[in-house]
Amino acid sequence: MPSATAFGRIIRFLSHIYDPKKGVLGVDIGASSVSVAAAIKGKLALRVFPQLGLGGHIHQVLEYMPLEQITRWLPEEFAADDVRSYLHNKAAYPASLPATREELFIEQAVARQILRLAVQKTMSSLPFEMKSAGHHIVPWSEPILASGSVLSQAPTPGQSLLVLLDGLQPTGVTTIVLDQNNLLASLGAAAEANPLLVVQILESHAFLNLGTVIAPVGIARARVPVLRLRATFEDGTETKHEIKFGSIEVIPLPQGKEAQLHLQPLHRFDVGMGGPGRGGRVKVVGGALGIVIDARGRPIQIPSDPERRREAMQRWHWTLGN
Amino acid sequence: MLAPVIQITPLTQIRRHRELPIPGNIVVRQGQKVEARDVIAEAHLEPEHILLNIARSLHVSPEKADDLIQRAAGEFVTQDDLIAGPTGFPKRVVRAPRSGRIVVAGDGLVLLQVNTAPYELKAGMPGTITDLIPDRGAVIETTGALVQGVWGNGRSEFGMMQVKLDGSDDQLQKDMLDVSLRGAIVLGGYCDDPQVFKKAAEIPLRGLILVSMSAAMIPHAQKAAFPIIVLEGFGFHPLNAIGYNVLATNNGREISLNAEQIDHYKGIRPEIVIPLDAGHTPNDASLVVEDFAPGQQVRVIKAPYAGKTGNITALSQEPLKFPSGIRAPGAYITLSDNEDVKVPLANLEKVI
Repeated sequence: MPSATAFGRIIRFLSHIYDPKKGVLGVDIGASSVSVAAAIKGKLALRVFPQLGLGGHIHQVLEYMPLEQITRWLPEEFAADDVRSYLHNKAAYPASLPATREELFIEQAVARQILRLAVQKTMSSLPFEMKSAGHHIVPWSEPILASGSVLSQAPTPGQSLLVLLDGLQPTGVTTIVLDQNNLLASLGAAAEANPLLVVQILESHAFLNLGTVIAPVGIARARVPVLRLRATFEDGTETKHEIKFGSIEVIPLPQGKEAQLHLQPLHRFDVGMGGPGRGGRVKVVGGALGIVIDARGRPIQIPSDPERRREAMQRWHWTLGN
Repeated sequence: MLAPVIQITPLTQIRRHRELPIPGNIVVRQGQKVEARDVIAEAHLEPEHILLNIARSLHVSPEKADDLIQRAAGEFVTQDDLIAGPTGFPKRVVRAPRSGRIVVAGDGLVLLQVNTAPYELKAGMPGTITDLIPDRGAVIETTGALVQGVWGNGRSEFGMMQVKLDGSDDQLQKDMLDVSLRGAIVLGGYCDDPQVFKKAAEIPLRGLILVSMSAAMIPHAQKAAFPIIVLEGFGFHPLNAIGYNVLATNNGREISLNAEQIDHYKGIRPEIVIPLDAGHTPNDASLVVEDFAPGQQVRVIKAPYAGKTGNITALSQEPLKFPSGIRAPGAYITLSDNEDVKVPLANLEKVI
């Protein structure tokens, strides 16, 4: 069975189990292709992009996007030729690893952009039951499963999550789960013969819950408050937060611990609770990074000035990546 | 972990398969000695077709045209042979515009596959034909020095090598090329100037071997009519010490430059073969497949030690952490400049 087919099977399977009002999303950033799968109530859309991969054909991504769409994700200044050289050297040695910070930045920037492109191209194929906050915006989905060595072998879970937040740009309240042992395709192949095994493994520690992500959708000026959040923890303590547009905030919540969140979107921002400006309560479970609020807008508003852009990238990296 | 291999050696037995992409005719025999430019097999790769509209040419209906067609599918015709007719007044006929074979005839049309010049598969290096591959090609063996690279533009040539490299970190500039190099294959350093390729084409050179090259030069290299091999990769890299010694000591010799694209699945790499008379048959070390182990000579393929060679002193028992933050199986290596470093195994290749 092709691995992409098996991957899609798992996503379809999960769409029967989780919230029927939201879909389930899956992304796999591989060496030879990127796969995007979306399913709701058993209806699956699966797209495979063999021209977008991080292995032997990585240099060909420049046929589908200008170099600037990759370099905009870099937190430091790089010469264009250095980025091109990296792509062609990686194509010659697809199994090689980024041993320096600079090469890791480039590889993760490429991963972000090819994921972005693959998701954008999948949007027109999604089941019509999947609702979103607008055109070309990823629909409300939970959970989101992510696979691929660039994610599972990232130095920190925060870097994996940041690549997904930047490339996929999920919306609303969702949980992001990392296939850290590259099991999803194998589970999809095994599901037909032994569906109980699949459920047991999915509920085990084989997968890493990166955290609950809250991504309000809307547009505002930088540093304008767009979301008020009250978190009540299992021990009764409470924290209040005011989230400003353009920021990523992290609320610590240990793995497996629960919290009750009260969300109040401002300025008609939409968190997927019934429309713009509508909030509510939601119970969440902590992951490796706790609760992450991504208030950078959808699509993410990246500063056009190169210096301000790099400052923003560095800030987001520091908040999550380290 | 199995060690991928790069061959940079002053003397080895070299055995290469040369095959047509489609079945064709082999024109050599087993045991025959060949030179680099000798043809060993040929085939018609891209047949050309001509569609003859008999009905329109004879001013008749398609049904009437079918009655006037004198040939059947499969027949061979030569130029000017009668295909259809005669009919009408004055008499109208259709003749074969070129020699070829009738593929199909009917509905007032005739499809003619015409003969084209065959694709000639050349030996690519001097040697002896040791085996024939039925309908496809042959296996050629020779002894000599072998230096493999990282990238090639797909062409091949044979000629005298001229080394234009004062040090392993030199840069090739267009004023280093002149008419005295006409017909030569030039080894130069790093190149980032398209004018170098333009000058090379004007002289003309038979080929270029570059230590490294700017990635922006790739479109120019792909258009060049002569083979171009890049030894260390893209971006500025000095030539590894082993490669430098092998190539510099063979300055002025006839070499075979095969600038194939790297293909890890088939074990194909762009390479330079320098035929040498060894007096004996050395072993072909490429036939040995083994894991990485202490004592092996290796080449680092990625930053921060890209292109450097050294020896493995130990393998890590646990994954090592590298400056990027990733953890991976690694090796401790003493480089040729006596620097001790650690490198992921995925970023090494064994030098043989």
